[in-house]
Amino acid sequence: MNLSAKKYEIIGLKDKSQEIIEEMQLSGVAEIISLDEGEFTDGDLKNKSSVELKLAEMKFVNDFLSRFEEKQGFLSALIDSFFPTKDKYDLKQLRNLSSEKKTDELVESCNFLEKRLNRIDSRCELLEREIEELKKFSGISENPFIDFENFEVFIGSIISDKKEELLNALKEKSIFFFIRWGGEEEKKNGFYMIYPQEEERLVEIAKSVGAVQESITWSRPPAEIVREKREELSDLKKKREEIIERGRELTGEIPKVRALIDWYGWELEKCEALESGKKTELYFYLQAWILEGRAEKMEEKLKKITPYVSINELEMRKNESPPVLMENKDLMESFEVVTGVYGAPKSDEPDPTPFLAPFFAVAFGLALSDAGYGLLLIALCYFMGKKLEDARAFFNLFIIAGAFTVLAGLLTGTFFGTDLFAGLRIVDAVSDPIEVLYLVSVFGLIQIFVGLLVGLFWNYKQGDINTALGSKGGAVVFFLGIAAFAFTGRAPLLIGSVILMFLLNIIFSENENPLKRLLSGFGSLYDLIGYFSDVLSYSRLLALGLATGIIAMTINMIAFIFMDMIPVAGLNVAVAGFVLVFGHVANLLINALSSFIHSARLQFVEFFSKFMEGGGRRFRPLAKKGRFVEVIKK
Amino acid sequence: MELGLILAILGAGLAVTLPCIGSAIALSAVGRSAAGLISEEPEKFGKALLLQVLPGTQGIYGFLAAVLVLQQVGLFGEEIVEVSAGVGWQILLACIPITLAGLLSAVFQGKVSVSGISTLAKKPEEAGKAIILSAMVETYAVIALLLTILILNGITV
Repeated sequence: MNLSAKKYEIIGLKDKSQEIIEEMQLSGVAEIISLDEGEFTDGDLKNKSSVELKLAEMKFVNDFLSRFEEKQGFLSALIDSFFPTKDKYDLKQLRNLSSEKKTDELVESCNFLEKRLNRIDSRCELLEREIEELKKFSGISENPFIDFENFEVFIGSIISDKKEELLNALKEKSIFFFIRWGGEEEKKNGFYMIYPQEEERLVEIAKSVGAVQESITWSRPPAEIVREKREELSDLKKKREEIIERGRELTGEIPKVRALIDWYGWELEKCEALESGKKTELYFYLQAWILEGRAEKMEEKLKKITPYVSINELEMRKNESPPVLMENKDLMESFEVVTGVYGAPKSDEPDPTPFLAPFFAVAFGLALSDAGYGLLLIALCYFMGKKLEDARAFFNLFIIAGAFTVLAGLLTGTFFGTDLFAGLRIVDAVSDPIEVLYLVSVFGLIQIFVGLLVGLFWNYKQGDINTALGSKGGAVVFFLGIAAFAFTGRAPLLIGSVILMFLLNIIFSENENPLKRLLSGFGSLYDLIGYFSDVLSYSRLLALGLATGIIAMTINMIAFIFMDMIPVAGLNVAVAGFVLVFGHVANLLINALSSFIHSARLQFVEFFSKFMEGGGRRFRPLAKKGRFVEVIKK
Repeated sequence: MELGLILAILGAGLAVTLPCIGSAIALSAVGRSAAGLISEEPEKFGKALLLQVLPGTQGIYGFLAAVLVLQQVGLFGEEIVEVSAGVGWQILLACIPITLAGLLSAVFQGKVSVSGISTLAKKPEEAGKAIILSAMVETYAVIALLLTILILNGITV
């Protein structure tokens, strides 16, 4: 059901504002309304900048230490990305944590380590680049840049394959020259050549063979320079390893740091809540949406902090719509997952969750329709729900949907794509899909009819008699006419229902103009096309059910082909077993996803449109709900 | 080989190949934008993967139609049945809906999924809506598959 919120003002002693907001956070029933003309200044929120600083520090430490954290396995990372695990703390523990001196030391250590790491990294990068440049000369253990009288030095490099060609070309000239090869690099070889000043053409010859002049000079022999740089690099890498090791040691602090990120996030939320209010010398003033019936209890709690606080209900402005909170209990809570994908209904619309629940479960079952897959889904979700308590509602949804899949599987007699339960089969989707098409169409008709009934009831309750009895009532009559026709085979009943629908739309039209009233009547006939396409949309359940079943059958076939093909006894069973397990699990996951999405779509597009528009704003109260931490009461 | 069988195999081949190409194009496009996102926020990998696999279904639908054809002509572990040219043409034409709708709907679904990745980046709590928007495109591949199945079901070999 929808819980509606009412608008309140909260006036309290400014000195106690932090405690009051904290209590509101703990209650989790009030959403602060931001007043445009908020009057709180930095002076009033002395600790806001220090909270922001602390939060930034914690985020920095978390980011820095996360680099050294042990990487999660693929599956656990995947599960964690959907259902992040939260550590449990009570408020006292969190408060103590925030006042620990050790945290400041940790920030300092991380700052120091990060700076050192950055310095080392940039130095290593420079050294590696320099070594790379000099590598091709690293075999040269003397410095050629000595001032030889009447001789010049040419520093160059050439691809190793052309070394011989270069030497031969130079020797051909039979002039005196000296060449020293740099060595080490395989593809390119560095060298220096000493030649008589007047023999510049030697350089030209070298270049014509493919030698490239290197604009590089050394004050000492390259071999020595490269060796020194390599030693420095290796020392730096050792130091880097030490820092990483230190970082790894500190990763034990990550849970605390993450808890503090949530803690300072809440502290900041408190400051921001106050910021959006007004003030006098002694008092603060806030406006908030508070869930209906919860304001009195909250006021009682706030009065325990200070008697100078009061909560008063305000009149809502015209066109102002309060936020919406959907609250369902027990198994129905699981179906909020489906509604949540669509978004909240408007505050004056019903919560669609209880209405969609049975239809979603049946649609999911028909779309997956394999008893074996249903059982496997139940087992997987039961196991996951036990492991991830926070996501229990989500897994419960699939346990229920799994149970309906088992039923649908028995109806169509499929069990992991086999005919194991063929005896229980009522319809055969593969050999007689038309029968299943009828079945899913009837299911669609029923759901749309229920949607119209909900719409009729809701419009009536809201006092919109014209819509209730006109468009909704007319459509309900038409659907009753279809049912009467289906059971009796009498066409006049169907025609009569269409005429009645037409008349109801004219009689209860909101328009005064008779011509426009008549148009409303014709408009209702046009709606019939819409209902037809809505019902047709349910045929996807047949296609999805067939897809699951036939692919499951194919997996079994492929497994048996492997069994026959592989001549080695034992190996053939293992391969076939692998194909069966991997194939069916993959088929289940892909088709469960499709079944979820398409069943949800049937609710959103075909069902919801009969009684709600949606687009309500979700209630987002001040609350101590964290990304990393769950607050528990001790 | 008889013309009927050739046409049936052509139908099955097209039903797999074109939707698979469509799915591959779509998956690659979504994968590229998802890779950009997870380089910044690796914790969104799961939801990004979900958006990526959505347009992969068309390839499976095509495969499903092909399996039905192969079963019908006995190429799947049974004895090959005689397929007349007329029936061969019927089977080939029956494969056309999923072949074309599969190919094109996968590509267009991929485009919606790519946009969904930016929804995931900016508002991860609304990723479910992005998934539904992407699945809306798939509806037409489902309808095409349904038609292919119904026609194949009606063909007597």
